[in-house]
Amino acid sequence: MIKIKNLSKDFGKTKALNNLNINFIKAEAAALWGSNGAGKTTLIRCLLGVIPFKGEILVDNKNLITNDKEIKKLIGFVPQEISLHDNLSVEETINFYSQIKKTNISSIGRWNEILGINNFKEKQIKELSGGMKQKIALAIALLGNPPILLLDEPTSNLDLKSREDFLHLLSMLKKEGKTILFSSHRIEEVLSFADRVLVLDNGNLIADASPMEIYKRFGKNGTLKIFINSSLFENAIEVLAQKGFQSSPNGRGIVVKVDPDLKIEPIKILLDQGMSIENFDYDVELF
Amino acid sequence: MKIDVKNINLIAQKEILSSFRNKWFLIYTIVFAVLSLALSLIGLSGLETYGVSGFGRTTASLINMILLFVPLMGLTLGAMSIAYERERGTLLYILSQPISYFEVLIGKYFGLALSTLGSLVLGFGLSGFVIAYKGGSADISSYAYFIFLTFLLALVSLSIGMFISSYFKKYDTALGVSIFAWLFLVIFSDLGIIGTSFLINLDINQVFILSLLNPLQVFKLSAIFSLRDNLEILGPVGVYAVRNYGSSLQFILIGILFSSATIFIIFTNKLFKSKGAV
Repeated sequence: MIKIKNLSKDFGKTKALNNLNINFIKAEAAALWGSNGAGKTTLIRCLLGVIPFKGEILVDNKNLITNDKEIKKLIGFVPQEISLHDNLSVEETINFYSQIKKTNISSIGRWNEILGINNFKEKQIKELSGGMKQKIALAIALLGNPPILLLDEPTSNLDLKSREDFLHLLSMLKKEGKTILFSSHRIEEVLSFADRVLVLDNGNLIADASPMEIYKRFGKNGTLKIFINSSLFENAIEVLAQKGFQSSPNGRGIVVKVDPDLKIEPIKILLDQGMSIENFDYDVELF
Repeated sequence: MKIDVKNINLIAQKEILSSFRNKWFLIYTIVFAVLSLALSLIGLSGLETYGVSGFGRTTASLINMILLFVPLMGLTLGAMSIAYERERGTLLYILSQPISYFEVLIGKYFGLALSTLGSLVLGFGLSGFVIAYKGGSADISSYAYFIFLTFLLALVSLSIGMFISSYFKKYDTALGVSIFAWLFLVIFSDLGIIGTSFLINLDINQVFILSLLNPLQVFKLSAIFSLRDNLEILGPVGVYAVRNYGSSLQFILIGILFSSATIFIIFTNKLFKSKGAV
């Protein structure tokens, strides 16, 4: 469905993408995985045709450069930072994008109800939470029922509950047969959702395999971030150290170096001590 | 690539809506209306004493204000238009939809142009109403012509502003450069022409051609020429221009303003596409 041939992108002297050759088949969910600056977002932007690049991108055997608008009708996009016009209402925003896509809100069918857009359609965009904006971005992406969805770190700015809700929605879309290409640095999302994982490092494709293979190959050196009240930092670090986990304070929480198999242990230890955990996140570093 | 007029119309409508919700645009509109009104009242103060027509006097007193204000408005609003959306990420989001760079650019340009026209018409309209109410009558056609000229100046300023905006990733940088461009057009280009003609002994034709490179000078020549039959008030260059080009001078000046706006938009389109959405 999507063919990427010899794709390269430079930003000055920095090679953001280096001669990538990738094919995506219909109805697969593929994850782009890699650390910050690996090239995930740049690849998605090239697929959207919003930045100039070298090489060729074909969608349904049509060249993206020469069939720009036709191909964009086949793609729904959810960006990392949901950037909608603050001075428009939800209804005005959806109407605006519906008109660009030459469709209307009814084209998203049952998703209008699932996403609950009618509950906040009168609100101004600036009044919405991150989760609500994400839902609007997904509704806009689904306008015209496109077969391909491109999602750039779609859960990175969501809290735990919103993230779970959003992943549930994506699972439903996957079952509907959408081709989904998403970038993420969260190993759990990649493992639970993707059929295939492409690992990018400094613009190079260093692995293209099933999630389990990728997990076996790269799933070491995990970092668990536990968000707790700052008054508990010292106590939490001491308790974890007694159980053999090295940790340190970092921003709004503490960071624990832990293997993927043991990632739940530090959380259990803190909960057993009666500490309240606001949120947590687990990253697997490359190499 | 096929151009979709509906997309252009849609972006233009959104731009107009955004303009009326933009505090800077509202400030510009109010300040312009107040200044126009004040200058027309001052212009009318000698009406009974000298018997000069109200519209002509008001137009003359408005020229200097327009020369300062309209380029500032056009350049800064134009400079904010693309860079602001690029910095916020909304441009990336719009361009990821089935719409071309050209449609976004032209839609934004038309939207801003119509909003600016609305703002100018409000200011001029208030002045015109006061003049008519106070008894000034003649020269309504030259007043209308002056509004048209001002709109052309706004179009040129907007296209230069958008050219600047399409280059920069940061909104603050684009705004800063646009203010520098305004200073250059208002002050430094005059000084540059004077200095250059002094240093390398330019002849009058060369000075005239150099001054035509600045759209503000073109507007000034055209506006003054629409009020009187000669340009002696502008010195030797004005006399030279009228003597050599006669009645076709006005068409040449309008042609230059129109072409400047068009050329800058053509360059902006190329630059916008090559710079991308981020």
